[in-house]
Amino acid sequence: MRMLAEFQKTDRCIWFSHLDLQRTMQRALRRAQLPIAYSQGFNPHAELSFASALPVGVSSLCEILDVRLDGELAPEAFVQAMNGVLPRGLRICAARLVEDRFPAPMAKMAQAGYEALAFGADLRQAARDFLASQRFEVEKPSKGKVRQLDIRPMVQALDVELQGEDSRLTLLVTCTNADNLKPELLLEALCPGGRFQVTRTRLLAQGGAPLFAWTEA
Amino acid sequence: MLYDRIAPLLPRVQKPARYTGGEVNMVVKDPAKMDVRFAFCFADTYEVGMSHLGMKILYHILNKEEKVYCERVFAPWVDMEALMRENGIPLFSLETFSPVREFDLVGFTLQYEMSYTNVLNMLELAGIPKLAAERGEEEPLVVAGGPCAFNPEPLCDFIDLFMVGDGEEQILDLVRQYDAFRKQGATKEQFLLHMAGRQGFYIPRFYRDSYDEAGGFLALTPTRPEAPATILKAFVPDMDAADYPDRFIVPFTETVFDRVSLEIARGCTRGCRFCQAGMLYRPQRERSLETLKRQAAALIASTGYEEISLSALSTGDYSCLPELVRGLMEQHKKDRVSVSLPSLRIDSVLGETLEETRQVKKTSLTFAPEAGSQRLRDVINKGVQEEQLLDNVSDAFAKGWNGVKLYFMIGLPTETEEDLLGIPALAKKVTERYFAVPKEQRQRGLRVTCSASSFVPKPFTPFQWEPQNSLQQLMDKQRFLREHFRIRGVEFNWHEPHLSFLEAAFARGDRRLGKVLLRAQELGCRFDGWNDCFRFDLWMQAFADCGLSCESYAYKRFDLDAPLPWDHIDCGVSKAFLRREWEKAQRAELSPDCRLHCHGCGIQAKFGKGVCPVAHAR
Ligand code: SF4
Repeated sequence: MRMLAEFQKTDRCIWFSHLDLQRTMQRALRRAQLPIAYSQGFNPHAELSFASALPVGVSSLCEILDVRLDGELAPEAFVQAMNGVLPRGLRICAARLVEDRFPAPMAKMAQAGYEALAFGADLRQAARDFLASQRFEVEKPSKGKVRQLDIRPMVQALDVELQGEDSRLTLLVTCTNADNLKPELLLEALCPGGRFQVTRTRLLAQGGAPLFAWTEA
Repeated sequence: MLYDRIAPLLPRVQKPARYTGGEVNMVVKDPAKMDVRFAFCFADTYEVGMSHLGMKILYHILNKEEKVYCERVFAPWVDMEALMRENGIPLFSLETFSPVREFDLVGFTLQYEMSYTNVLNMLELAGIPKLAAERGEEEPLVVAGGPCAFNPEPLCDFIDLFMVGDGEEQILDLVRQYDAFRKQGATKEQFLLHMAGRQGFYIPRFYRDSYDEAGGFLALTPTRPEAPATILKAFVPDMDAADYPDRFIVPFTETVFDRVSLEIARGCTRGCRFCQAGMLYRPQRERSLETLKRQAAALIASTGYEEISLSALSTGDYSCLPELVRGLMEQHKKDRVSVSLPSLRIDSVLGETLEETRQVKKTSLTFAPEAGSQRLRDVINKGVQEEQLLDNVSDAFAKGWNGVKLYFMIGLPTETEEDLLGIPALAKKVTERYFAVPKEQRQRGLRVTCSASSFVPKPFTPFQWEPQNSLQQLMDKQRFLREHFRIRGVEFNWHEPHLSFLEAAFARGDRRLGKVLLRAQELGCRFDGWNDCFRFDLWMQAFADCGLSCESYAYKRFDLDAPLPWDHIDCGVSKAFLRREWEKAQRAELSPDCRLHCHGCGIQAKFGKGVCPVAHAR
């Protein structure tokens, strides 16, 4: 059996990387002393994966952890034990037990939804221009080089609302294993040098469907 | 709150988690309810500082006090430092993002000389005047401890109080006295005068230095009746009774040593003549099996670490090492925890313990013969026989190891070309032992790494009077070695000798070096131990600007009878003993391990008969 768990990454925990998150979860699972399946070999580790890597500096309310078990464990017990050992800023909100052959959430990932605050900027016009464009090329640094990337097809929804001095953006962007648009890239294009606060709010499958149901049908 | 001003900078720096704390087991208290706030500063990056065991111990001890809050502070990496300066953000603690300036006590742990500029830079970033003389009553008290506090002179201009020796009890003494004095409304000066009389505390402002006409050091004289002529180190006789954390902070981001470490012993019985730690932390004191197993169990449960490492100056000498390794493995088998043994000595009970480590974790084997020839190893009292080393290596290769690291020093006193040639020769023999193991039995991919660092004479060692080799000599020797190091399967690494040159000056430096340090930091020196930050040219300029020369310190041969700038610090080992050892070194004469023979180093004369468990056991 496997445990799928939805968790939040907020507070000071937004500043460590995906690799750090893996290490942190591994150690939390050890502290919680749960019946987790471990790999063989000299460095045994829990067999776990995540639906999607979250960029550093972005909060999330909807991350998904997928971990294989080697014994009986109720979802409620998992949530309670883990929340007892996780640092402030990582919090499990829901868990569901699934069969081994249940599809991996990672494989179903298609889109991610974000909410972003852009401080002291009115981005309504920039957003309209962006949506009206056919192509929208930005510079993406990758492996020491900078390459051009058309991000227009990767943005499925972009909504801006003015909130006092700031703009509140709601985004829906491509987020698969192969193609993952970091919201920062779009925000930076809309508002160069701006200051943002970004939260991931949704992880979705093809066509905006939920990845899976948190309760069994 | 400061965090709101720091957060916007974080997307622009490498590894932002260095600056945000919040880790598992971080101590959380309400600063407003505290009597004493202690900023524990490590003058290097987060990754380096968080790997340091002493900091974990003292963090735990201080925070056990209900009304004391000890928070961590590290040196921001250069990218963050630039942003902090640009945005007027002062140096802050990771626990509560409080400006360091707001703390009562600001304490630095001094691990190596080449972090001194970071100490000054951190004070500057904190907005605290660097010079002790310029700090008023409202500024924090700046204190320092750690191994470099045994020769604190180069830092005397900047530090109000030094703590010399074992910190466990001493640091509590400091905060308790501080609290009591402050509640009475005492001034800094009154408090420091009081501390001057307590064991292990050195208050530099109550002493005056003097020099002869040629610039040679003459004396350090107390200027107040309260200040003792010599300061005896603080000392914890019983390691089982010494407090040890039951939880370590578990960093989110990877650090240099990211595991449970157990301090199995303090001190060392070997008496290597170049080794400062071996002299400073005498006598050797072990923790018992029961204590260590209990500490391991608590730490594994509270951290979730997957590895335990055993820490001591000479791990292999722990008297019941096989039982300990076996016991820890047994205890943690079900937790899938591995046990690793760093810094194995070549003549330890390696044979017996090899099997066990192999079962759990195959780390590469480390040997430190230090010198290439038997003669020179006798000079430095590294009582290690080549045959023994090679047999151990053979054994390890046969058991499936394929990686060996060999550590050497160049520039040791009396070194000749022949001694140098012994280094590649030994590496070659190691590879031959590998190829002698039948192909099907040995692990593929031999990796022998040889490192050669430059010898730095250190205070409180028998070589404290010796000059360092000149930079040119060291560079010539390295070149010579590189030419002789074309051996299959062997990689040769050497260290930057310029850094060792400066280290030598500061290790045996006097108070006059304070102004060089200050000048170097003003010129922009910091993170000197990091290759990409080290600016030798600026250092040389700093020396020149102050009218001093690095050479005159590093290359100095002290007269055996001359006063030394660190004579006022008493580490328990007598000067007479060091001198006897120096004389034996000249004759390449060995001093056997303390477990075989007591050499009367003076520690029992200082702390009482029976205080050395090794001498006592015999
Ligand atoms: S008292 Fe004797 S046995 Fe103990 S550390 Fe000193 S020399 Fe060694």
